[in-house]
Amino acid sequence: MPFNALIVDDSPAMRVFVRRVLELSGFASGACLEASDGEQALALLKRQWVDVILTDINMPVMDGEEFVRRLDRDDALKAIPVLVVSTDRSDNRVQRMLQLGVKGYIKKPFFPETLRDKLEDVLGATDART
Amino acid sequence: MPEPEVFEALRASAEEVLETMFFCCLAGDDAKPESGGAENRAPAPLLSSRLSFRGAPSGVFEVGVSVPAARGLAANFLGAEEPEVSGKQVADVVCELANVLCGSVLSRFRTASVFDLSPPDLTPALDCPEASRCSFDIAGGMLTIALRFEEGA
Repeated sequence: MPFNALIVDDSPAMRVFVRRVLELSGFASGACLEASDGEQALALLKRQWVDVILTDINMPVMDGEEFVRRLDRDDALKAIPVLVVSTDRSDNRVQRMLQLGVKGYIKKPFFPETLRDKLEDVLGATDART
Repeated sequence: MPEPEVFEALRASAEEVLETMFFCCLAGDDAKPESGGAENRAPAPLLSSRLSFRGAPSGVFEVGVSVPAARGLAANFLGAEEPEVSGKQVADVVCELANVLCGSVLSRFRTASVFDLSPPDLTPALDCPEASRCSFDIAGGMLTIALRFEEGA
């Protein structure tokens, strides 16, 4: 069964990098949506369901922390698992995001395998891989 | 911040970031620390990116990559062949490199607490006076990193 993903990052290069990791990891690829900030991501989610969200934190307009708060307040969206991919390595930030309910926090720089393993945890290794 | 400690952080971060996400390594173990600036280095076309960070400490961070090396890094990062990579994509990748390097360097200082990074901007040249600066040979050219803490850091 193909999985839909949403990548939220203000860096176009980083979005390509994450998309490529998804493709190379062998996850069954459905739609792979992209947004450059939290507000744009929420607008996309009104139109299309995704199975996992990968989001940066430090973004203009609406940052990743506010985006996750908004997801949590929306009964239709709060069940979507969220992985954070961020440059911010501070313990405070990691703890705050985990308390908000994100399923994983990946600190940049990271090996592509790290992201793949987190995705397997979230999506289920046997179900998600082609 | 003692300069040897800063130079070691710049070197270690360059090594880590290039290997993990840019699939490239430093050529040899010959980092070139440059106190005070790179003005006396031979000029070469560079793609440069700058960002500032706020917290404890605050400061400015710059990255400069010679153009052929930047094209190679961009191709590696994006998983594309070099001729397929546009100028804008190369610039985006240099900015992302600056962003990731800055986060990595700051995390190496025990005193660094929560920090806020500005979005990296492309700049016409490296222009960070009184910065601790280090250059590394990489495939296709040179990578230069500069870091300056604000007073009181």
